[in-house]
Amino acid sequence: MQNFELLRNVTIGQYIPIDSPIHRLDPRTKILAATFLIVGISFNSAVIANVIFLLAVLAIALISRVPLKYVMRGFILGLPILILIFVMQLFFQGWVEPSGRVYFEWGFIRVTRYSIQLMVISLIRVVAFIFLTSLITMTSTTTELTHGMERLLEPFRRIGLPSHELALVMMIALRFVPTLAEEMERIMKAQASRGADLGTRRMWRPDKAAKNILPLIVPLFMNAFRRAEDLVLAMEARCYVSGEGRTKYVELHNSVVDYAVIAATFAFMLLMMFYPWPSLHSVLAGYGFDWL
Amino acid sequence: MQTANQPAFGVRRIVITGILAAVAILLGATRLGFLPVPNPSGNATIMHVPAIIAGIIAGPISGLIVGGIFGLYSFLTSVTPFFKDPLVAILPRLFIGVTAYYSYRSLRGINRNTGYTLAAIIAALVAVLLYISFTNIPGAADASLVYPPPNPDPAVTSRSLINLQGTAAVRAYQAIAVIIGLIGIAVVVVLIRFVQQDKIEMLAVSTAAIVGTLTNTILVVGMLIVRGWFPAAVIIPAVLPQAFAEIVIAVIVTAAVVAGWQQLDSDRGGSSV
Repeated sequence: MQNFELLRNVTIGQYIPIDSPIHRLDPRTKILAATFLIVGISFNSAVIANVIFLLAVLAIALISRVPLKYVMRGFILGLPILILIFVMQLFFQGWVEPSGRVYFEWGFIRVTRYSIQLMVISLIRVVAFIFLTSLITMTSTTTELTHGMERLLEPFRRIGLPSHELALVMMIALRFVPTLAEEMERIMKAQASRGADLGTRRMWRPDKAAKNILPLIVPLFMNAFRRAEDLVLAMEARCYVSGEGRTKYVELHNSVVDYAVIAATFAFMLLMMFYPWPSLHSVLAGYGFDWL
Repeated sequence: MQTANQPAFGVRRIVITGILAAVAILLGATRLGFLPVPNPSGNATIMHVPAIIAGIIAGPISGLIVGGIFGLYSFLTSVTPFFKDPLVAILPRLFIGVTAYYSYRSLRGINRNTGYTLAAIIAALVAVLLYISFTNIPGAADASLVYPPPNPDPAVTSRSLINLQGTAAVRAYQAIAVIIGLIGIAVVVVLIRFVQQDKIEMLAVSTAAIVGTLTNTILVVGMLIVRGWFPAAVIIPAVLPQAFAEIVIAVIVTAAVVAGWQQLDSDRGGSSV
């Protein structure tokens, strides 16, 4: 039978209210630093550099004093898919040239230096990204993040980017998720009490599956539109004008520490991206391990 | 209500974009957004549908923002490893609402004659494609309807633009041409039916749903291949049933919701988005 409790599942990250140097940072700093690190990790294909990135992220996690088991939960949930991906990368990406040394070949399965390298880097990237994204949502509230994003995008207003409107959109979205979840629960119960068949799902007939969910989805959207209408009316009645000249309830203040952190992560990213990292096998070969 | 000092992205658009983003997050956070499909991932998703709807009813910028928020949300909270890659999770999603908007806009205004002309052009293109692929295959030197033996002379094969060598490649090329041809014929039939019944609006909405869904699928799968998460030979066949199911579901859901919205919108009166 159906699980009618939607609200319980709707969490956007999990803010952990403790006091740590990371929590005290300005949200703008956290967003910028995380972006620098994510860009750095995304565009780096040297094993050694990725290991250093991972260590840096782990260090940040330790400083933030967030319980590591919360972070690891996301990792463990995704583990089955991760293993599947690694097996495929290991066996099937060996045909990508240049492949480097071939370790094993059987039929269409080929394990090469390239495929192993790809697998290792993917693993490190996944762990680092899981840590980073959890750290952002665990050390700052969604409100802080939205304000931070608004202020960061403000300079782009000159070229026509509606930064304030964008922040307002995000605020409205976050504000309405619980309301709509509640609404959805009510719709599901209402349809189930009328005998709607919500439990069985037909695998081979997508049209039937779609028609099955229409009694849920259409009222959900219609309710959402009606709520939007009410909100528009309320805002227009109060003569809401976005953008220029609005003052803010929350003022953000950057301290020296914030600037230092931004500068340090930026420099770190540049260093990691442009340093000519030697490949792991050549470093190991220098110490006499030439089996890799 | 647009006043002089208000930017193009007005209150109504802000609110509708925000609410549709909330729906997208809700569909992602609960299991509502997933329908079972017989393929390895086991799920077809309708999470991208709010982005398509935003594109149709509130324009490309709204579609872009809803797609972006949906992508950001899946990047921040997903437990699927490859959605922890921002280039897979966020970047492709930005375009869903944009392509949906432009396909909707380009079709909603057409009249009967334009519709028939469009059908004729597509039919002609299909005929040309089939003719070329069965008579004059680039690389297979001999032009004939009989299955041609590959030319062993490397000078002949290497001169062509697409270098198809050997019989298997030619056969695969012809098979793809036939599939594209069949899809084209189906498109023509559907197009004529819609135009005959004066259901241009329906046609535009369905096309927007198909284009938006394809944008999502193709860009995400493309990114997965480019970023080395999956080899192309594995993921493309694996994703095909899901892509098909997603198109069907997206068309049905989008058409229903947009029809409901237009009903609501005409009842309301006053300013429009």
